[in-house]
Amino acid sequence: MTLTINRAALTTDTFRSAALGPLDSIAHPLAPDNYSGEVWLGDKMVGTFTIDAAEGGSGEQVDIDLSEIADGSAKQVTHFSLGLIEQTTAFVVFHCGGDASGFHVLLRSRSGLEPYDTRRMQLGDYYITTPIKPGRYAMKANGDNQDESGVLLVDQAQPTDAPHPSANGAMIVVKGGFEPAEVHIASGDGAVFQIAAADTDIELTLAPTDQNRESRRPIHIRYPGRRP
Amino acid sequence: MADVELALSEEVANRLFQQLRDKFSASHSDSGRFGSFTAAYSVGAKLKNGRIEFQSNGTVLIKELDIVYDPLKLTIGIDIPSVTIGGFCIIPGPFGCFLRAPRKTFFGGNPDVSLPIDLSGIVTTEISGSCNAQFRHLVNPGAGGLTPWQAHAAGKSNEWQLFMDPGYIDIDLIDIADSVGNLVDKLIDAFVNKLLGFLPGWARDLVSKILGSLSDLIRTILDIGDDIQEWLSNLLGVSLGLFDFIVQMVLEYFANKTPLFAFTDPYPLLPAEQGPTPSLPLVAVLMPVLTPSVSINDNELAISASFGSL
Repeated sequence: MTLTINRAALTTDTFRSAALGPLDSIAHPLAPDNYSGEVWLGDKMVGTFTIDAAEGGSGEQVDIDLSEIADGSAKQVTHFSLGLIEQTTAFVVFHCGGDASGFHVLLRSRSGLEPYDTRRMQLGDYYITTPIKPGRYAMKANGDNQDESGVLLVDQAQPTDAPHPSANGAMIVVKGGFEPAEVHIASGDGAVFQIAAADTDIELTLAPTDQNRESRRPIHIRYPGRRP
Repeated sequence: MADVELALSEEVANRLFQQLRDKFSASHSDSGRFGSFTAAYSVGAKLKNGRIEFQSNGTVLIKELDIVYDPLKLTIGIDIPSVTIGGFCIIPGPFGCFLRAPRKTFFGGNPDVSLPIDLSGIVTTEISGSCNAQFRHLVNPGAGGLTPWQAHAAGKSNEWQLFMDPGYIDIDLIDIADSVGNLVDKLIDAFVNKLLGFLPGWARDLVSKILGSLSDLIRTILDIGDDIQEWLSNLLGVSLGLFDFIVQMVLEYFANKTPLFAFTDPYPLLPAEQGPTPSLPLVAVLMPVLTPSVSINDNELAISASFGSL
């Protein structure tokens, strides 16, 4: 009996759009053009790819698994085609199918548009997370100095007799802050951030639970000869 | 007119039958794929109970002979569906979904996971059938080139063997112990606990939410309805063909492999003896037995034969 368990998913308690991992991804709309991309893991470039985005397609998104490009196991995935419906954009979705975290992507267009960096999401992007560890996640945007600009509350999933596939639990608009600022979803459902301002990055951090906090009981020391 | 007649009472024939029955043993293993699960078994079969009755129509009736399946190990392989998160639609479009979240596998089985079920001694089938008693002549291959007396001395004489050749046969599944329902239920529950036990509680709940009740899912995959005994009977008997196969082995055993009764041909009327001097022994008196026949009535099985000459 061999079981596959995504251990990274079990332990993920921080989500950073600037460092993609197993449970988050970024959807970015592309206009017709030819693009070349670089996949970075931390400060090391680990792979490249190209995308031909041209009109005359179905507008279906293209998913790019950054971990496959990074470990060289990708089959014919270094080149992607994106067929756009006329005069629209279509999405390329950067995600990580493996255990590693810390990916970002740089995308340059042949026509010389300003390079796109997933660490600074743009208007029209979506940051998609599927937290599974229940608890209270502090939401911060653009590295603000506050402890949190919003709260994402992930409830423990309720076992049911009938199967319930993962659903889109909440859509949150990000424009400086978060709208709504407090969101409830169930473990395994998605929290999707719609980026409505340029150069946005998002961070979600799970607050330690009371059970996980270190005990801070006062220490009583008894000195010989003194009454307690 | 036969030279010799030998009659066996039903009681004596039953003692011979019991010896024959107790010598039987068979083992077999097989497997199959049925939709989304596999099943494999290894079985050993023994015979118990049963008796024979002489019939006025000249046949022998084997009554209520039990086939006990012990050991009987059934192993069921199940593909546990992957638990995936994501995959939900973010921007619906006129012809489907314009933007969808990527799917991530959280938990899955690869390859099949196994559910072993020990059914040893729990399942019993019963056969009854009418048999024709037939003599067949066995030419002993070890006797080639030997005189009848040399073959007799070497224990390699030919034989006349009386077999019971089944005509019609009834097979009944007489028993799958009632406890098998609880047994399978408990095994499935224990299996699910083992499968998910190492996960933290919230992760187990997540698996249960996405797949639904895993115990129910396994029952659905296996197509277990309300009656586990009926399901098991169909799986072993119909899908895997276990009962038919073992019954064929039993029939083959009675019809061709092991005779109820046998005697050597030529038959020693007088054994070899010491002669007047060691160099002149008295050889055995051997008489060839010519085409023995069997007749059966309510009371006895009579064998008649004529002797030939060497």
